[in-house]
Order: sequence, then C-alpha cells, then structure tokens
Amino acid sequence: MWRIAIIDDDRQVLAGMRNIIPWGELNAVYAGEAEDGKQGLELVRQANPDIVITDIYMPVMNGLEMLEALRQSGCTSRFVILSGYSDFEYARQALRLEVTDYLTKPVSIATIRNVLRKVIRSLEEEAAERQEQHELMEQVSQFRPYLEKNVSSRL
Amino acid sequence: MQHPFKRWRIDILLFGSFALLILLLLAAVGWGAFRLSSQQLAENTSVYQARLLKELNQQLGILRQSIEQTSLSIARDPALLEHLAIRRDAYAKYRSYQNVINNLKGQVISSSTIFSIQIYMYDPIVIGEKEDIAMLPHDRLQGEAWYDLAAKSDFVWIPEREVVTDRGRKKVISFARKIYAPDLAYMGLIVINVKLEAFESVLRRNSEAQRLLLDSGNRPMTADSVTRLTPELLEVVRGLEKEEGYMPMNRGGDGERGASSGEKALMVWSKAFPDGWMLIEITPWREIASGSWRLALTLFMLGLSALLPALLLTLYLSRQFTRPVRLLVRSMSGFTIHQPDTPLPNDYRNEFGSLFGGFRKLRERVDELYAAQQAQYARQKEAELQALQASINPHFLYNTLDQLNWMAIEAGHEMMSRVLELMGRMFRTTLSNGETWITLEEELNHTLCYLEIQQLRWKGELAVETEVEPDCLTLYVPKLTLQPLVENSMVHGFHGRHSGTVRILADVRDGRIRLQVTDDGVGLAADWRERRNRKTGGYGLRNIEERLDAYFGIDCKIVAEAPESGGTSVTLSFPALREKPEGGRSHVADRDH
Repeated sequence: MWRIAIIDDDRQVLAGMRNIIPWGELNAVYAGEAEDGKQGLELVRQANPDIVITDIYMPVMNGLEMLEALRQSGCTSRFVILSGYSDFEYARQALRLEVTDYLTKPVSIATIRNVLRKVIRSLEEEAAERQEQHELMEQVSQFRPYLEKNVSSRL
Repeated sequence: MQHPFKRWRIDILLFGSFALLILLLLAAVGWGAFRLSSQQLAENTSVYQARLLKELNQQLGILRQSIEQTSLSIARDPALLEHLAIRRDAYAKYRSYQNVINNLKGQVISSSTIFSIQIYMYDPIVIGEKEDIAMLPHDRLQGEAWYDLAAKSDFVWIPEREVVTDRGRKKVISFARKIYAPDLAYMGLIVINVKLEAFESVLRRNSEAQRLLLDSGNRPMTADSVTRLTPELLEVVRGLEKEEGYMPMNRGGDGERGASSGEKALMVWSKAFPDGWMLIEITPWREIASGSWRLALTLFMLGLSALLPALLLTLYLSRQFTRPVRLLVRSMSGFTIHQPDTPLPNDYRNEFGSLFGGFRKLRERVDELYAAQQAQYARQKEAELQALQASINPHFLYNTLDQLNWMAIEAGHEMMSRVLELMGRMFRTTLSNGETWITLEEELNHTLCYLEIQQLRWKGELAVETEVEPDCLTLYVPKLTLQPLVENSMVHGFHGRHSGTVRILADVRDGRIRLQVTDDGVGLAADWRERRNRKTGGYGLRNIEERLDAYFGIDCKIVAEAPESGGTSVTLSFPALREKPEGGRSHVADRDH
C-alpha cells in the first residue's frame, strides 16, 4: 500500500484532492494532510509517506523550504509540486531538490491521476527491483554454505 | 514702422546703406565742387571783366575826348565863325561857305569815326540836308528830339539815333556843341555824328556779353542799352558809388529785388574818370556757372563710373558677410529630426566658424536628446504595456482559475476541469513574462491547448493533424503567430458547422520557416481582402500581418488561398531564427534598407 500525504493551505483543495485520487486503483492510502509548510514538515517526518503532493505558496513556511529541510534530513519521499502563477522561478530550485513532477495550477483530474499513476508505477518498479535484488541476495545467502563448502574443499 | 535694421535682410541693409552713403558722398562732393568753383569763377570773371571794362571805358573815353576836341576846334575855327557871322553879303558868305565846307569835309574824311557834321545856323546860304556837312536853319532845332538835351548845356552827347545823308542811313551817336563868337555871342550849334560802330566796336569787343553804355546822367547811349536798362537796373545803377565793382543781381522781371522772378546774373560796372560815363556788363549766372556746372557734372559722372565698381564691391562684400548667415538660417529653418542635415561649411575660422560649430553641436545635441527622448518614450510605452498586462493581475486570474477548477472537480465536471487547465496553460504563454519571442514548440503547445478546448466543445467532431519537422521546434517565432490562424479557422472557416479538420504544418527550407494552417471549412469569401481592411473581422490575420511586417519587413510573406479541395490555407513564411532576437525586432528590423 502506497501512502500519500497532501499539503495545501486551501481546505477545498485538500478535500478535492482526496476525492479525486483513485485510492483503490492506485493501491494507495491516505497518509494525512497539512495546511502549511511547518505542519507539513512534521507530518512527513511522522508519517513518512511515499508520495507528498504539496503547494508552494503557503503561510508560515513555503513548500520548497519545507522540501529542502526534509531532503537535508534524509527524506526520500516522492514530491509532486503544485505551482501557482508567480512560482515559476521556483521551478529550477525544485528540480535541484529532486522533485518528481512539477504541475502548474489549475490541474485537471486527469492530469493529477496520470501523474500519480506515473509516480506509483515508478515506485512499483523501484520496489520490484529492490525485491528482485533482495531475492537474489537471499538465494545467494541460501547457497552460501554450499558454496563455501565446495570452494574450501577444492582449495 | 519697425526699425529697418530689425526688419530688412542684412545683405540689403549692408548693400543699401553703403550704396546710399557713397551716393550721398558723391553728391556732396559734386555739389561742393560746383558751389566752390562757381564762386571762384564768378570772382575771377568779375575781376577780369572789371579790368576789361575799365580798359574799354578808357578807349571810349579817348574816342569821346577826340570827338569833343574835334568839335571844339571846329567851333573855334575862325573861318566858321566868320561864315556864321556874315549875314547880308551873300557872295562873301557863299565864298566862305565853300571854304568852311571844304575844311569840314577834310575833317570828316580824315576821321574814321565821324560820319557827318550838322551845323544849325542863322541864315544858311545852302541848305544841304543830305550832305555830309549839312548847314541847317537854326529854327529847325526845335523840331529835333534831342532839343531839350541840347538846350540846357553848352555841349552834350546825344544817344543813338539815325541820320540820313546821300550816302545812306546810319546809326550814330552825336555830340552837340554850341558855337560862340569871341565876344560870347551865340552863333549856332554844331552836331558831330559819330558812327555807332565806333562805339560798338569797343562795346562788343571780346565777348557777346550784354554791355550797357550810360552817360554821366545814367542815360542809356545806345539802343541796346535802352532795352537792357530795366527800371530795376536803373535803380541799382543810381545807388552805385564806387568807380568800379561787381555785384550779383536779379535781372528782368518786375518783382522786388531778390525775388525769385527773373534770372540770376552778375553785374560788373566801370565809371570813366573825368566824365562819369559808365560801362556795365551783365553776365547771366548760367553762363558763369556753366563751366563749373560742367566740372561738377564731370566729377559726378566720374564718381558714377567709380560708383559702379564700388557698388559691385559692396555687393560682393555684403554677400560675403551675409552668405554664412544665410547658410545658417537655411540650415536652421530646414532642421528637422530624421532629415539629413543641410551641410554647413567647415572652413570658417572666425565668428561664423564658431556660430556654425555651435549650431552643429546644438543640432547633434538635439538629435541625441531626441533619440534619448524617443528611447525613453519607447521604454515608457513598454512600461505602460507591462503595467497594463500586470493590471490583468495574473495572480488573481490563476487563483480564480484554480478555484474554479476545484469547484468543477467538486461538482464532478471533469471536462470543465480540463478546459480550465488548458486555459491556464494558454494564459501562461500569452503572458509569458512579457516575452515577444517564444519557441515554435511553445507556440505549438499553446495552439494545441486552444484546439483541445475546441475539441472538448465539439465533442470529438474536430480533427487535428500536425505535421511538424522536429528541427522547427527550437526555432524562435513571434508569440501568437500560429494560434490566431487556427482561431480564424474555428471562427470563420467552421462558422455554422459542427465538424472539421485543422491541419498544422511546419517546416524549414533555405533558412526560412514555413507555417501553414489548412482547414476544410467554408473557404475564403470573395471579398476577404477588402473586408480585411475594415475595422471589423479578420482582426487576427491583420494583426499577424502587422506584427510580422514590423519584425521582418519585406522578409515575411503571408499567403491566404483557397485550395481546390475546399477550405482555406494560410501560409506564413519568414526567416528561421535559431537565437532569440534582441529587443522587439529581428535582425532585419530596419526595413527601410
């Protein structure tokens, strides 16, 4: 199950977003929401979601400041940024902070769904890769005694 | 009237005042020369005339004296006295008559001046009225015109008259003397007729001047003198005291002395010493002055001939002085921004040079200021435009769009959400931070956003085909060159329809990009070109045309045509730009060249 957190200072956005995300299809669960960057920071540290959808322009702490702080403390969550008109200049900064996607408002349902699907597919691929690697490692560890014995006997 | 030095042109002033000055000087010199020389001439003339008159008068005096002497010797002649004394003895009288006549005839013949002699006597033996020596009865004396004169004195000169002899008529001036016997008894009167020529030959000597001969009683002695002696002159003559001299006078006319009537003249006179006869010469001023008049005229003509080169020189000088001023004035009046300057000469080193330099500098400064002003104006315009764009307030716009979007989402209007999203993207391109030039990719995306909105409206009845060479995508094009064409197709081409196909084509050939939008709509109206010039309709295409013209000038081409297959095809073609051009215009911005 993928955990998705939403951070936006607009309650309507929070509610709307929660409504349009096809949780079942994406095999995802709601990991909580926050209304400014500072709350978002705590939320992500606490809940450690896989995906964070965040606005940039927010009171107290903006989305990019929050992201920077999180990256410094080793957070590896995927970030999807929602940008308003005046946030163009943040795009470059966002890229540096390894943002998965940078959407400009307004965003249609289809766009959000597509983006989320893409992110989750990549997460799944990553997980599958990890899984495969893990299995390989396991197999290796299973065979280790045998191998060790064979090799040592040869020597 | 305004001050002429403030009103008239300088070269006219310079030339005119110089010419006037020279002319005045010339006139003054001429007049002065005339005055002085005529004065001098008058003096010289009078002195010369006075001397001459004195001499002539002396000669006349000698003539008179000789006549008087002759008459005296005749009157004292014993033979004549005897003849006059004989009264009764006719024979004796006749004999002495012959003697006296012969004697007197000898006198007349020997004298060149005496014409005839008349003797008035008592009992003349022969009355020879027309003889050279005429013996006349005494009682005829009373009938003579000059009787009064003769009666008063013993001897007297008789003014010009005419006598008749056998030899003919003759004008004479006569001298009459009474004859007395030694015992002082009155015997008769002898009249010696002197030829007028004798006087006139003296009077007319040396000149044709008007001369008057007056006796001591101011009586005119010749006929000419009578006519010349005006009452006025007589008045003057009576007042004369000196023996000789000259004075200016007004001749003729019957006005008062010094009045303008009559002619100005110079009068010179000379009185003979013993008998007081007076010789007067009158010279019209005109004659005296004619010499000096000629002199003045000659001077004036000389001056005039000198005036011509002087005037030419003045003209040349004034032109030289005013030429730079004229040049400056022309340059100043012809001065306009953008026009090439009227060239001013560079070789002046004096005040004109500084003037030219000053004006040239001023002109450059004005040009600079104008350019600066223009640049500032352009900047201000741009700022105004930006302010206008800013006043649309993108923040508000986007926030509102976003809110609308969420409202649509909340209401389940997915399509509307999509339209709002596309609109948001389109606005981003439209505003695009005030950029004029964007890549074709951006323009294409913008256009496709527009087309997708239309597709959503038409519910899939609108087909969009794009055929764009990948090379083209990075080229720079003026913002909003493609989208308005597509909009034209939607608004005009598909007017009243519900389906259609829009085809977008872009390629690059020989350094030129070609953008083509084709639709299968109603096609071009027959009068589309005329309509395009009107304010309404066709705004999109005209707007593109104007902007491309401003950016590329003749380097851009716009072709609108109706293919046989129907619909409309609009093709834009302009230079392919790999770099974003500086400022608002392209590299071919200056289309005047």
